[in-house]
Amino acid sequence: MNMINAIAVNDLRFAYDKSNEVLRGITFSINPGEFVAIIGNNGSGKSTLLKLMVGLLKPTKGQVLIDGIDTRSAKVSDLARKIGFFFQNPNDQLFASTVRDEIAFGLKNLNLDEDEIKRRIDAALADFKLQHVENVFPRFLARGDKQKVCLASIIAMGPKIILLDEPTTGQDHRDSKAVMDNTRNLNERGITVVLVTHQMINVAEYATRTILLNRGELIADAPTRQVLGNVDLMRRCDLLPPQITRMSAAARSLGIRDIVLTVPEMVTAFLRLANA
Amino acid sequence: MELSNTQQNEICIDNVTFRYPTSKSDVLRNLSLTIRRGEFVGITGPAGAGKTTLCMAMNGLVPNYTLGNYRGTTFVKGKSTLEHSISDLSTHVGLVFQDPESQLIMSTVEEELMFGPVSHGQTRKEAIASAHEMARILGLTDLLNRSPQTLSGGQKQRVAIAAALTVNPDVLVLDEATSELDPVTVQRVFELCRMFHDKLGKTIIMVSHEIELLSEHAERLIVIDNGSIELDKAPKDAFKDFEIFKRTGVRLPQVAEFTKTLREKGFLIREGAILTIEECLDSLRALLGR
Repeated sequence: MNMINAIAVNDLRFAYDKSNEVLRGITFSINPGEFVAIIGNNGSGKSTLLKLMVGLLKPTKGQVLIDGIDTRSAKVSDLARKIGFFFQNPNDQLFASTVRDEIAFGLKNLNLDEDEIKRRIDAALADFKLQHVENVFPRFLARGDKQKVCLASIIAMGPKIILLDEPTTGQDHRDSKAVMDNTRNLNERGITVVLVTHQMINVAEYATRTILLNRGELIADAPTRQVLGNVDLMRRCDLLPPQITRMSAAARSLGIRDIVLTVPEMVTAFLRLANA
Repeated sequence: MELSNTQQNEICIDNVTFRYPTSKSDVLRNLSLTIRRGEFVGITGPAGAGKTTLCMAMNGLVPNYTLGNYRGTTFVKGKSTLEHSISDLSTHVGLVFQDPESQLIMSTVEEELMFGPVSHGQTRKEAIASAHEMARILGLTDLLNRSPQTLSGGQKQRVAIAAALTVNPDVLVLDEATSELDPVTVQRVFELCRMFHDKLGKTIIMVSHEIELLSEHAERLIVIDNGSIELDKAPKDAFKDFEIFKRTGVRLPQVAEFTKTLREKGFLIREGAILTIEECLDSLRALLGR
């Protein structure tokens, strides 16, 4: 089968200044429809990697291909049709005077006719249940709703891939879960998702594959269970798996063989043992 | 309230109601809270609950700086925040915010860490020593000559915490100060606060969504919603009233959620919430008869 990777990163190197290489030869590829987390401590290079993927930065060496297009030769605006970028702080991305205008803004640059623009806006408002605030100034919305507007604006553009940079930082459990559930819905519709986050509970619950960076190098690229289950490796990279995952690793002496990622998984693993 | 009583308490918030000039409803509602010297208090609650406003009331920023409609009284070491200046109160209460950008103003990290000591009367030489000592404790030594603006979010936040600590306040209030840090650094900040608390007798007030770490380190867990205190208990007693957690959307620590589910399935697990991995393993061992 000859499938084009959603994202292909080949021996990627990047330095803001010559003496200090931030990414030191990173290689991986992501297939269409995957939900991949990129994790690493502060300074591991993950934010730089994201900027390279959307073409805001160009590789010092190596290449990044987005849906087959080399970011070195592509215009950021061309890449923007394929890849949506969800910022950490929703205020960085909201500037229109109503929610409807916010969603319309990107669409107007796509040379679509008026009917198609209207259809897409209405679909995005309905998708994220934002109809009742369509005429509100986005900055007056609660943080959770601001994030929905950002996601709606991105999705209206019809991207194949979305990148999320710390989408749940500083949020309470309810808002965090809402953003992640929305993201999962998009992924289930076939959109490739790349999530950069420090929140390991969300990595455990939502991402099927995890890429671990440390000091600009790719340390691990494997199913999430395998990466988060390696508590020692995670600690060496200044990361900490969720409490329940660490507990399952410590429960081996009790006969629990599985590494669990969520509380329901732990319950199942325990019941299996207790009923054996 | 008698002044003699309030003096023994580090912070005493007495029936405070507050509304910002621009807000349509009260952000704090008849809120009373007494924090005693040397306590480690964890505060959590949903977005918009009033957590940041409460923190700002603790050193007089609310209402002296923000203005707004304020009723009730807050005492810091017996001093009413309405009758003392913010700079006077700030020697007692150090505040670290969510957003480090708003706090970093100097051109190098070293100067940033010297700012507090110098403005509180230390000589330049003393201030350099204080700055370097704090940089060492927080792992910032390599960054002393960097401009705070060039640092990553996590590094900025560590500088902000270090800067608040250099003036040696009795009370350190951290308002979601760890939200941008990587998991091990978050844990280090909690452990550092625990050290300040255990060894130096500091009062720590930590606002956070990190429910596992709050439960492990805090002596008191407070849940705030809609400007009122919904729960104020020791963590081991806090996770019995599940309704409060459901209503406020605050999640339980994962091991507490796990043992709650096992109890619901009829397993006899000793009463009292289980908050750490070790406690949880102990009760599983007992259940399995090992």
